This record gives sequence, C-alpha cells and structure tokens, in this order.
Amino acid sequence: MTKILLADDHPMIRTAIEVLLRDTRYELCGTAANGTEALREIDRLKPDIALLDLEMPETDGMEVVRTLQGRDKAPRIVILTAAIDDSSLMEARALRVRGLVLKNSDPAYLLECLDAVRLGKTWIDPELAVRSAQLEEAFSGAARPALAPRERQIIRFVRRGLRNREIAKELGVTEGTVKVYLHAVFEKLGVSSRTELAIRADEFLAESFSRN
Amino acid sequence: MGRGLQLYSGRVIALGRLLLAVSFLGAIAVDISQPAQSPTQTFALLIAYVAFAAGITAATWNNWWLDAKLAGPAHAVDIGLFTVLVLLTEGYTSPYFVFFVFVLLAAAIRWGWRETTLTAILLAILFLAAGMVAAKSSVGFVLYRYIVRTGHLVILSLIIIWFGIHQWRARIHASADDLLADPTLDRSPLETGLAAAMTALHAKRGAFTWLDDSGGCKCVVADSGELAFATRGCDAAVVSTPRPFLYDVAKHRILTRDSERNLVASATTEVIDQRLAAVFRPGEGLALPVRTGTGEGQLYLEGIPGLSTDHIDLGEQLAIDLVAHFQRHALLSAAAESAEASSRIALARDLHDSVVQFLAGAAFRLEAMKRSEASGRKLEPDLNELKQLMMQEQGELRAFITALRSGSRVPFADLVSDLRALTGRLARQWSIQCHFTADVIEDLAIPNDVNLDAHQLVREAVANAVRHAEAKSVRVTLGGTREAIHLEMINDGAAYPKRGGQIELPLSLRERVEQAGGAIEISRGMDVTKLSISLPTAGRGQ
Repeated sequence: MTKILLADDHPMIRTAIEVLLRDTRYELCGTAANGTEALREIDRLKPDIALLDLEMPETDGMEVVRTLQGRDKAPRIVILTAAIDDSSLMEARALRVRGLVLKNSDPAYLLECLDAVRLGKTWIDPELAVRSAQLEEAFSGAARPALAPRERQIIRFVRRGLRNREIAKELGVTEGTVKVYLHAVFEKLGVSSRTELAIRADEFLAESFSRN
Repeated sequence: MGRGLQLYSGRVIALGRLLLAVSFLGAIAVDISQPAQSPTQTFALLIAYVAFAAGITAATWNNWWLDAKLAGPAHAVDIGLFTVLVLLTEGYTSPYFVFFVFVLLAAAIRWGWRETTLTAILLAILFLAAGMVAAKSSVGFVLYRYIVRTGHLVILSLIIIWFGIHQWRARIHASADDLLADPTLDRSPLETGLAAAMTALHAKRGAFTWLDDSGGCKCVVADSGELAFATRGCDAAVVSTPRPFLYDVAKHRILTRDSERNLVASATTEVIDQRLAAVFRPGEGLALPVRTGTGEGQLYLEGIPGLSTDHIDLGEQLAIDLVAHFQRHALLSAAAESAEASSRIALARDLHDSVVQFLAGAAFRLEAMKRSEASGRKLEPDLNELKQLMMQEQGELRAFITALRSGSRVPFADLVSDLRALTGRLARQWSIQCHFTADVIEDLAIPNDVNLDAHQLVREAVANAVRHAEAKSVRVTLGGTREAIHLEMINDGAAYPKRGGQIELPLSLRERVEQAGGAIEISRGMDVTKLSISLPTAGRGQ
C-alpha cells in the first residue's frame, strides 16, 4: 500500500478524498488542515506521497513544497488545487513537483495522477500542461537576467503589499538591505516603481522559474 | 449683511465719496467761519465734486466695466481734492482726516499693497506740503500740530495697508467653502460644484464645462433661476484661462487681474468657448478656470447681483474650493471603489471556499461511488450522505444569494413584505396573535443595516413581550417618512418594571436603537404597553 498524506483546509474535500481512496492501493495515513500541520504530519508519518492543496491558512501549499525541496527523504508531491497562478505553476514545475491536478477536472484524473507518481513518473493535468507549454514558449525569447531566490522572495513580499520595514522583519535583515535588493530587482526587470513590480510580479516570477 | 444690502467695493467707494462730499458741503454751509480761504471758489469746487461723486456713483453702480475704468481717474480727483481742501479749510470742519482714510481705504480695497502704499506716501507728502504753504500764508498757523497730524496719518496708513488688504473678502468666501465641504457620490462634482458656486454668489444662471484627461467633454447647465441640471454632451474643447475674469459678450469686454493684482482689460472674448453657445449662451458674468489632476474646466456664472471687480478675487478663492471639492469627490469615489473591490474579493473568496470546494468534493464522492458500484458495494449510505451535504450547502448558498441581492439599500416595500412574513412566523413560534399593518412609501429605499435592525427589533420586541410580560397579542405597525422609519409595537402583556418612576426599557432594544442612531419610547395605558421606535433612513452614523 502506498501511504498518502492529504493536506486541505476544506473538510468536504478531505472526506471525499478519503472515500475515493477507499478500496484502492492507497492508504490515507493522515490528514492536515494547513501547511504547518502538513509538515509536522509528514515528519511523523513519513508518507510516500504528499497530496497538497495550495490555498491553506498559515503556511500555504507552495511554502510546504519549498520546505520539502531541500530534504533528503521527502515524499513525492502532488498538488491538488482549485486554481494556480502562472508563477506558482512555473515554480512547481521548477521544484519538480510530481503531480498537478485541478479540482475542477475529471475526478478520475486524481487516481490516474497518483498511479503515475507511485510508479515514479510525473503527471500534469492536461489544462495545466497546455498553459505551462504556452508560458515556456512565451518566455523563451525573453532576455531579462535571472533572479536569485532572495530576489524572488522579495518580489513575492512586494506583491503581498508589504513595506520595506515589514519585508526586512520577515527576512531578518535590515531595511537598507531590502532597499539594495529592491534596487537590483528594479534594474534587472526594468521596472520604475514598486506598484509596477507588484502588478507584474506573477509575470516576472513565472518567467524566472521558466529558466530553471 | 442681507442679500438686498449686498454692496461690493466699487459701490461702497462711490457711495462713500458721495456722502462725504454732501456732508462736507453741508458742514461748511452751516459754519460761518468756513471756508477760511477763497469761499466762492471753495463752494464752487465742492458743488462740482458733489456732482462728480453723484455721476460716478450712477455710472458705476451696475457697471463693473466703468467701475474698473474710472477707478484710477476718480482716485486722482480724490487725492487732488484732498490737497485743496487741506489748503482751503481749517478747524473742526476740515475733512482732511476722514478724507485721508477714505482715499487710502479705497486704494486698499481696489488694488494691491503697492498702490495703497504709494497713495499713503503721496497723501502724506501732499498733506505736509499743503501745511507748509498754509504756514506761510496764515498768521496763526501752528506747524508743530501739522507734523503731529502727519505722524498720525502715517500710522493709520500702515494699519489700513495691512488690514484693508487681508480682511474684507473672508465673509463671502466662507459661505462657498461651507457649501463645497461635502461632496456626494450620488451627484457629479460638476453639478454640486456649480450649485454651490451659484448659491454662494447668488447667480441666476450657470454652466460648467469639463474636459477630462481622456478627452471626454461634459457640460452641466443650470438655468431659469432654478437649480435644474441638464448634463449635455459638448463636443467642443474647453478653453481654459489662467485666472478668473469678468465678461460681457455683447460689448466684447473681458476684465481680469494679472499676477500683481492689476486689472487687465481686453476687447476680445475668445477666451470664452464660442461653441459653448450650443448649450449655454454666455451673456455677462464671471468665468473661472478649475484644474485638477484629472482634467480641467471652466465655470460660468451669470445674473450675479452687483457684479463687480471683487468677483474676480472671489473667483480665485472659489476655484481653489472647487479643486478641493473635486479632489474630495475623487477620494470618496476611490474609497467607494476600494470598498467595492474588497467586497468582490471577499465574494470571490467565499464562493471559492464554499461552492467550488463543495462541487469538487461532490465530484470526488461521485467518482468514488462509481468505482464502488463496480466493486459491488452498496451505494445508499454514500448517496444519503451526499444528499444531506448538498441540502446543507444549498441552504448556505441561498443565504449567501439573499445577502448579495439585498445590496447596500433595499426597497421599503421589501421591508414591509419581510416584516409581514416575520410576524407570521413569530405568531407560530410563540403561539400568540401577531398582527402587522404598514403604510407603503413608494420609491423609498433604506440602508441594509436599517432593514436588518428593523427585523431584529421586531423579533426582540415580540420575544420580550411574550417572555417577560406574558403577552398574548402583539400588534406591529410600520410607517415612515423619507427621513425615518417608525415601528410601533403594542402588546397586551403585563406592565414592564419601573425604575425611578419610569418604565424601564428592555436593554437589548435600547442599545440596538441607540446604535442605529434612532429613538425609542415606551408608554403604558389601557392595559397595553406601547413601544415606539424610529430609525433614521440615512443609516448608522448619520
């Protein structure tokens, strides 16, 4: 039996997946309602596959993926989400997420995806595969310099509307350091204002991940 | 000062000159010791001056153009006469002092500080020179007294220069400022701005043309003495001038001020957009430019009583107020849009969290059932569970749609039908008789919070009457006006407890009414208790 840990904040989804996995080769070894709980349960239960929603309170699904990325014995990751923006899609691809399933697709896709991932393959929802290919093509001719992980992190904070002081606090650096990073980001991306950066953040991040 | 007595500076100066001339002529006619020098010439001069003053008053009373044009020459005559009178008269009847004040104040009111200062210096020199001449020709003349008087006049000059320039325009400006203080999102700032400007200056007609940065042109016109607005499209560009100006299209006259406050006349009316004639035929009035970060426009005001050069300065102040009014309106719109955007985001999140997730879950459940059927498993328990979940979700969705449908305001008629249904439910719930009557007010919409408060107050009042007064019957009456809705609830239960000789109001009802900014009263008589509640239709915090 392949052990699966499911992280989703919606009880209806948790119950439904539990019913769906009944009488299959998969065992739902645990559930979590947010990212923090998911990380704790992964450490405790050591599942083979982590089935993660993206939109979750406290720590979101992408943050869980980033945390697990650096670990040696991390479970294979499958994202099950209602919606995903371009930057998260490209980041998920870059971080070698094994499966990507949309909640509004055919429910049979989820079992198909789990079967593929169990066998060590990668399975992407058809709709997302098309979108991903289009983004790759759109960014193939772009000439902007690559972004460092810290720069991406700062762009994400700017997108959330955080001020320099708040970003500095989140990163544990000084406000001056944040300003230096931001200046470099402005230069690299050719943006003239913080507002422009926030508005086009998804595009910049998606493009940046398309190079990885 | 009332509207009928509204005197602008030109009129005040002309009238002051005439009264001074008549008064002085009368004074020296009565005083046999005066004029001290050349009596025949002095009388002739004064009679000529009275005629001059009367002529100026008549000519400029309703003519801002002549008032502006004759101001300089009349000022020169005043200064000349002042000097002659100092020479010709002596003693208490000498009008030197009051004439000095008059001439200086006229300069301060009409022009800037430079002209006032020049007038003061000229008057002081002429006064001293006349004193010197008088000292030589008169035996009993005391020069020392003249020098002291000159000192007094200089001090007075300084005060008038400062005070005269800064204080006199405050009153009319303040009224426009008040009118423009609170923009409303229900009406365009063009309309409210035009209305406020017309009210402040008592204008009978007006037009406001506006060209926004995107090239859109609007025009609002108010005519026939009433503020009935008609927004008419204007395909013409708005001609904007740097400063307010008076205009008379028929006589091809334009009068404005330069940056030094000097009056500048022009014989061309090209600054008035001739294409405006399609919606508003300009005649005689005041025009002022208004510029904001989003566009620029021109405001035309006509039929202003006592139109004078003062209105150019008032126009400057009014333009500043109008810009602030536009900015406040833009800020209010942005705040409303932001609130709307927040609502949309909250709505999208709620839909995502409930409907989308539920449907996704239901789809997974159906997929699981399909697979269960293939393996011969009984589907009934799963189907029953899914049915229950769907019914719960449907209930939540209905509540959600109801909240959406209600919006920020609901028709009064909806409140009537809702309360009728509510009293029916309350009658069944508490096993009492609950009658409801209402007067429907057509076209009245009330804020949603007032609607919800009314529901809750009826619920609480009925529950209170049954629980604490053991009422068997409650009669609810709903009525209202455009300003407030009124609820009257009469129950046949026991009397409410008293405190300090007065019937004690149920706390929950009192608090709710106070929060809504309404009023509540309780009274007892004929074995029934009557609760009267009124809630303002403007909503909370109004």
